[in-house]
Parts: sequence; C-alpha cells; structure tokens
Amino acid sequence: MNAPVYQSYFTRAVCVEVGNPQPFNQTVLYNLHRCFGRVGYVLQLAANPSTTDQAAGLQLAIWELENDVYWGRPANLYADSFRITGGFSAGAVNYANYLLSNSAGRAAEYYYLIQYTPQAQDLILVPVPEPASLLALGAGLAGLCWRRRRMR
Amino acid sequence: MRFGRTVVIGTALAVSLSASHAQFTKIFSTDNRAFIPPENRPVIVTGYPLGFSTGTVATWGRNNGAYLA
Repeated sequence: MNAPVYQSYFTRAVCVEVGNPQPFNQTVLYNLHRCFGRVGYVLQLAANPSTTDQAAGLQLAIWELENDVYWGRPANLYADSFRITGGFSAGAVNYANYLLSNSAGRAAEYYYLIQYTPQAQDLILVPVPEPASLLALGAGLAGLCWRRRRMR
Repeated sequence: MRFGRTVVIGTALAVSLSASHAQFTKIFSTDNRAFIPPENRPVIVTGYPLGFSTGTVATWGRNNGAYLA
C-alpha cells in the first residue's frame, strides 16, 4: 500500500462530504491516501462515467455509502441519514442503485484526497483509462492478431 | 502525470452549499488506507456539473446545468 502512484491520471472526482463546500479554480492543499474498501469497487463499476445520469448516480452512491451504508444502515436512497427528496433523474437513481447493489460485499483499491479543514471537500478520485494504457492495450491486441494470422 | 505536481481535476461531480465540520469522513476512517507522500499536494478543481442543497438531504434537479468535462 506504500508504493508510489504511477497510474495517476484522473480527470474527475466525487465529493464525499455533503456538508462542505468545494472551492473551484483555486489551489487547495490535499493529502493523498491509497485506500481499500467498497468505495473502490463502486469506482471500478463506474469508471469513466459517460452520461450525466451516470455521473450523478455515482455521486449519489458515494453519499449513500458515506452517510448510511458505512454506518451499518441499508442502502436505501429514499430513507435514513442521506435521502433524496424529489425532482430527481430516474436514470441517476437507477445507476446509483446498480452501483450499490453490485458492490455489496466487494472491495477494491482507490485514491482519496483528504482536506483537513472545512474549507473544502474531501475528494475521491475517479479512474479513467490512460491514453498510454489504451495504446499499450491496443498494441497488445494487434500483436495477438498478427501472431494468430501468422500461425494459420 | 505524477502527483508531485499540481493535480488539476476537471470535474468534481457535486458540491453542497453549507460548511461545517472538519473531521474524518466515515469512509476515510473505515477503509484501510496508506498515506502517499508528499504532504499538502496542490490540487485545483476546475468545475462541477451538479449542485445540491444543504444538510444531509439532497434535492435533485434533472441535471440542470450539468455537463461532463
């Protein structure tokens, strides 16, 4: 868990605390932690969200985990400490429920930026495919195809 | 991009409007974790698509003003 971060290409983050603001377009000092838990599996399921509903659903799922599930309460977006009250996007709620139900009992690694003052949110970094990784994957697949053609 | 430099995060998915405490979140205090030096990394968050109301209850618009960077 103490290895340096090399796969550190992130373009998105989700907020953790419902009660803190987030300053934008200014430098905020954070400490980075590599963590392991259910949140990490949720992020694997939701890596690189492609629609606003998915992005919103991921945020809803993280808030539900932070405010209810990690306290031992059931994952229910309409009840308990964190709940949504109306005017919502059904697609976002469906996606949040998908993330919550498919992450039960699972865990994975993730990265957490902690801010020790109430002037900013803690942030969880959302992994996205790195261009270099995609290139390497593409090269590997091309190599496999080429080798297969030669073997015929 | 290494984390030693300023990390620019293009999209924070949501922001709430009230300020309050400074304590560990439940997620952070529950999950196994390891600090990755250095301390006090400069981070810039450049935008957000969604806004929420105060407290632990979020009202939800139909992604009004939402965008993905």
